[in-house]
Amino acid sequence: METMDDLGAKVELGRELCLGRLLTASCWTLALQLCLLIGWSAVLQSLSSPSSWSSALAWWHPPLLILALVSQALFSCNDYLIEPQLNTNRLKIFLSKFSFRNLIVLTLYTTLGTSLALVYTSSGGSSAIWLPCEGDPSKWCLQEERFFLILGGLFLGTYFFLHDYLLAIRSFKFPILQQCKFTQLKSRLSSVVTASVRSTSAPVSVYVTAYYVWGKSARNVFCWLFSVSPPDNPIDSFFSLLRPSILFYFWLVACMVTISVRLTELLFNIWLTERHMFPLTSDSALTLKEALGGNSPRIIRHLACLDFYLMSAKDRDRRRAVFELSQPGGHPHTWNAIKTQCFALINDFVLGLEKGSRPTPEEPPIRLIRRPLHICHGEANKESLADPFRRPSIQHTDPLVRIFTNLRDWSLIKWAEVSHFQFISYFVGELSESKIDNLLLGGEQVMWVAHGLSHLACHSLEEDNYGVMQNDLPSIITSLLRLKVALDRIVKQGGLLKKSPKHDEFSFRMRNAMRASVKRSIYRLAIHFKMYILDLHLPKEIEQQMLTFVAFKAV
Amino acid sequence: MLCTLKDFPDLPEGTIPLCEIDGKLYFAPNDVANIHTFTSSVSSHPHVTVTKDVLHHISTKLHSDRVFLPVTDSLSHRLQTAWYDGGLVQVLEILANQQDNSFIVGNFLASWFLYGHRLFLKAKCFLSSSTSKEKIFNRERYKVGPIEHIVWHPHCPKLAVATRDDAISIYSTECQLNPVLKAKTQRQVSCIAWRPLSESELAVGCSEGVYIWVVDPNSIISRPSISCTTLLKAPTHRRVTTIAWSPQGDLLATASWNDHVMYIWNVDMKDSVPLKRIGGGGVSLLSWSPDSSMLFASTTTTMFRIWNCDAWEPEIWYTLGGDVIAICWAPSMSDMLLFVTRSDPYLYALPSATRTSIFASPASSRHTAAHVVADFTRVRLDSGYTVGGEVVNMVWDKKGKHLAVMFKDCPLIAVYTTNIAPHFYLAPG
Repeated sequence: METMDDLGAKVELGRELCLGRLLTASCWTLALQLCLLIGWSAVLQSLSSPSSWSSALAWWHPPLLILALVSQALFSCNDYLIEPQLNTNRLKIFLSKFSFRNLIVLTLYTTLGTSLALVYTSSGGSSAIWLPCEGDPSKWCLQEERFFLILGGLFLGTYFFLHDYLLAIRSFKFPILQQCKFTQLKSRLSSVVTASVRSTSAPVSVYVTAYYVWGKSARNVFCWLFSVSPPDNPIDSFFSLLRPSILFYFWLVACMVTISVRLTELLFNIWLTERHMFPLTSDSALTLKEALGGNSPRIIRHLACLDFYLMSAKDRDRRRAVFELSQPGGHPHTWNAIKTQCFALINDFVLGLEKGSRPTPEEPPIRLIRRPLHICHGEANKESLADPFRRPSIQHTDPLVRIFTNLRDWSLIKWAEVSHFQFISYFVGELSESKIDNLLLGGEQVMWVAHGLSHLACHSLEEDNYGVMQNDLPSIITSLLRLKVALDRIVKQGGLLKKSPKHDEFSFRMRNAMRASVKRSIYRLAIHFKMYILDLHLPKEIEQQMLTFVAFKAV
Repeated sequence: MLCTLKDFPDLPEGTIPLCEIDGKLYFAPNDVANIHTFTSSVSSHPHVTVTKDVLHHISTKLHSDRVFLPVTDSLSHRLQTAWYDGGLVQVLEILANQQDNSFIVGNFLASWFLYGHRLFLKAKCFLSSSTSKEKIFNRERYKVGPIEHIVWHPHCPKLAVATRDDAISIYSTECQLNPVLKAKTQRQVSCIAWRPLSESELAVGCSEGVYIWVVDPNSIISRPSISCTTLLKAPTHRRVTTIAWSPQGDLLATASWNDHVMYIWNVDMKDSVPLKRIGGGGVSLLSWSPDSSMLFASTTTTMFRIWNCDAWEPEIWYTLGGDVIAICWAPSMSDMLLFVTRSDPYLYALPSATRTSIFASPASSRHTAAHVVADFTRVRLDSGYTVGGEVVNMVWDKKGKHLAVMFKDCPLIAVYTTNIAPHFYLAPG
């Protein structure tokens, strides 16, 4: 029997695994960023003075780069570790954007943008943002070109925060093929660079326009803050800003910043989504059944589901260990533990889908629940039981408590009245799809578990000598069919939503992908067990559904 | 001893073999051949009738410009028409062929631009070691009938038939309707494949990419709309000439004769990953092993690769001459395959007797050769038929008992009896 301490220790093991991967990814990111910086410096210096390109890297560049990297790592890894937040109405979604965490992330993004711009703009020549004025050397004058570029870095950081973090669906993606990390990096590098270069033009044009309009104010604020004189020839005029040299240089810097950001994300993705083989039994390491459990960090649970799927499909030796009985005792502990976790995962998902797709009952008219407060006895209690929407009656006689409860009820009633106005209900009305969309972010793990169970059941025909798994075959079939029915419902809803303006492509594809995937799992079972379907003693309805799969006519 | 086509028993005069029941061959006269008199095993198969209307349609489509008489038109009008019909190249061609002396500078410039364009095309063709678009799509079009491809559903008696008008008809005995899958941009259909573990998904490789059709088996619509389909295309991967579903139906491999990169698709999420290796030409043939652990990829040169689907690293093999045109994996095992090349009339088996599996000893793999198991040299049988030569296609049945080989310009199909375990054995059926 596992104690709470053991469980805590295992959760800690999962965190250590994540931490190790994050550290390795950070090291690789640092190495790659340094390569990028050296390459950038070499190119820029070779254009001006080829002999001294190595001097372009100042001593403070690597520490600044590490600072930028750490900040990037901090907000990159968060998505891998914690569950996505569920916001059920527009108001909550809106308010969630102003959280303290987002403020920190904004600070990190802007730090990243500014520091990268600072590093990349200074490696090409002078690193000073102000210099002694030409007319009066005792005064300091702002170098506006450099100010323009560094402010651009700040803007890019903010832009990425809004575009990639705040307004985007944050979810990590597992690779289609389990290739080695270097091959993955090589094959995805060109697409990352191309996509980064393409996506740079929008923020560059927005920034140049913004600088034309508000550049003077920004410059004056900066000069006032650092007590420097404004430049003699400001560049916020139309023709100065459209100089090809400054535009090209800013575009180059923006490209480098974008590539750095996206490359870090890519490296973290590659390292964190690499397959991990969890042992089936171990006292010192995190086992598969523990990793599949709900206490594991998000990425660990995904990795465990992937490992379970690959083990079931391809690894005969490990499958044999699943089908083995314990010695002494002769109990299928390994399979039972895995089965419990898999069923729990599928059932939780199905329950979530059923809750999310079920239309919420209409609120009863407010008049029905507004009644004088009284202490309930006898008949009143029965009445309250018969009316599920009625507030629980108060059984306290303390006047303070009564006043407080009165106030609370009054506020709830008022809130219910107010929220029925169309304008307000737009913000506070429940978004039925949000729960489903939130669940679908973890849809991949359910697909893997469904396939894993299906593969394992099919292999059990030949490999399960003790019939360990075949006892649970009806439960597996029932779970998968229940999952399929729930997915059918949300796919129909998704089809209707496709025509609406708030159509979410990821959610739409994931619904169809999950349905197709679960159907394939059931078809696999139907093909392998078609001779035995009637011997499995399935419930009548489930048996009928399975027979449609056997005939390849499932809808 | 090498098995040759001469070893096949003679056909009784005036009859054709119809079926094999319990190891015994049944023959029937040419004119009254009816398989249903011998067996009911094919009675659930759909009845396919492809009318000549399809051919008529093709003929009209190919020569639609010939029904109009040539007229003399002004230069500006001709240029305008050429621009809409064939783009800049056709405009330049008209300018270059202009015989008017007053237009000598334009004539000269257009000729030089055209010359440069042709040089560029040649260089591009040379660098990508590819064949031109027409060659790619005409290479397989030696067939003269209306049917281009026929593919059985892997799990139920359902048939997809691609005709020369780029439409695909679905035939099934359980449904009276035969849905016709056709889309405006579905042109030059080069391959079709049913998705395993799915009742209704069909992948169609064409000049635009890959169309994934979902045909509801319970639907009463005979002409499914474009909303029933998904188009998979990558920016540099359009003219798909070969496709292969993984046996579990989760991945789709696609490739093209003019591209050395092949793509593996997660079809449901419309996501792909390119598999790129230097060397060899375009990828001409793809085939997954039955347990999904290996993927065979033949190129248009003598090189072919066998990808290990765990690490996704390939093992490279070379043929003695010609590219591989047909390949069969041994059913239910992934350590053996048979293949035929374009230039040699031999059937090769991999691995050879010296190896236990393809990936068993990578160090010695370069020194190991495939061994010849059958000779397909064209011979004239005593019955008067000529059989053998270049192989068109080859199929091994799921139990590994029979291997059928179809030859180019030959009305006969050679059916061999095979055995895989404990030792590979092949004999004339």
